[in-house]
Amino acid sequence: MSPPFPPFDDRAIAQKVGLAEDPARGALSLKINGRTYSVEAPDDMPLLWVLRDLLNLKGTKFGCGIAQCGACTVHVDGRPVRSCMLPAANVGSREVTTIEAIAQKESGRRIQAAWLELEVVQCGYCQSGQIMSAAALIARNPSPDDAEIDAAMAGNICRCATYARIRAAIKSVSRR
Amino acid sequence: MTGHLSISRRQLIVGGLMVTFACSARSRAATSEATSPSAIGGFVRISREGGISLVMPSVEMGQGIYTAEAALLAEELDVRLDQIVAIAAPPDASLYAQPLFKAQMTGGSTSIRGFWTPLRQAGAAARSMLVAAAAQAWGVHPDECFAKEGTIVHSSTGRVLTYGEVAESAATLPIPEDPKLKSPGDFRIIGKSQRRIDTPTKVNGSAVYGIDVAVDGMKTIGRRNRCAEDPGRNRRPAHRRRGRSRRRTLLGRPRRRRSTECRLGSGSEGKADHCVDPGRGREGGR
Repeated sequence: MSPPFPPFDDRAIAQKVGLAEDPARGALSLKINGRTYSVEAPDDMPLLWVLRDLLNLKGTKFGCGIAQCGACTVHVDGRPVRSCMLPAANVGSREVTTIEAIAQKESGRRIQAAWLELEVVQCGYCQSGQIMSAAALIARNPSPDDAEIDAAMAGNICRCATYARIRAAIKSVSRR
Repeated sequence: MTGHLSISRRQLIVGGLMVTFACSARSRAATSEATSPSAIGGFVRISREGGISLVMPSVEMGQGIYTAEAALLAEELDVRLDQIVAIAAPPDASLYAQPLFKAQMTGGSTSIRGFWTPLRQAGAAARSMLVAAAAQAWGVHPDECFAKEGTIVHSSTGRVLTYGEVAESAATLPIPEDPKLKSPGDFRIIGKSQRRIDTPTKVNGSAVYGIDVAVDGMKTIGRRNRCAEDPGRNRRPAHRRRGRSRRRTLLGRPRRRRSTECRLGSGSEGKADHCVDPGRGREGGR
């Protein structure tokens, strides 16, 4: 019986997002939300679990574990990355930003305000990831059109189906 | 007794710094167990510093129940929704059982139907005790005072005390058996569109979900990532199964076995301190 999907390869994913580096051994030094943390983590521990289980930063959520849902999205050097598939050892010296600190960026602050204003949230479980993806979009493209919004948010799914309000909130922040 | 729900006692509990107003069907004897400093109970907690916490007996799952239940309590307590902190009820069915289910659970569109009267009574009982305590402090009749947005005002002199200032003395007063509920015409919160009170915590990552709860010494169970790697240990695809397992699967009958699909990333089955360690067993053999 062959597996229904090819086995996932963390390294390949890391390469795809430009994060391939030789995993460091021993204590890992990570720059997260402006602080430097030193953690003892297994080599292949995804960044998600370093954040949640070792550093107690639980705003970043586990959804699928296979980079299909976007709930675990964090920023690495400002780019949205699925932390469930990114080995923490591959982050290297890059800056990680999580939902806990996104308000320190102007784009994040504006996105959060729009989310509140338009009452985007229902259960909220995916919204940390949604906000991280939206904040990254607005930071690199202050006036996205509908197609650009849809493309940037396509990797974040929401079981409450808040998509219409998510798009409206991003448009309200757009400088268009 | 008011209402059709069998509220037989309204109990007041002082626990630590919190003054707690309970409104529950539990017996007086049972409630007295909850008066130790560490025990918590009831729906309204007011600290000396004036912090007002409302305990949410139902689970917020996106349906907005924190806002709705807070509205019931805040309406009768005479506080604004933005003055309160909503906290999840701890497991204690004697205080927080869903009146229609008689168990601590949330579902079936029953939360407001079940808690409509008890939560309003809890808020009204707490308000009337706070007003009585303020009246006592001023040496006036409670009818000369009214509650407003977390304070008690003496109508004729304009004197004001906050809920926090009188919370402790209010805790020593008798619990009104039949607290007067507002008539719908006087509602300021109920029936009016409100901002959801759970949204701010959900846009900054501070909302606590089941997966975020950690207790001392807690172990994590990881499960094999079946969807990504293989169909699961000792599992055959449905069309190749034999006997009962095949019949059950092909007929779409519920399997009694728990699904083995992945819930925690790279782990196979095992317990560990975090969500990656269980996966050690996969290469190393179980």
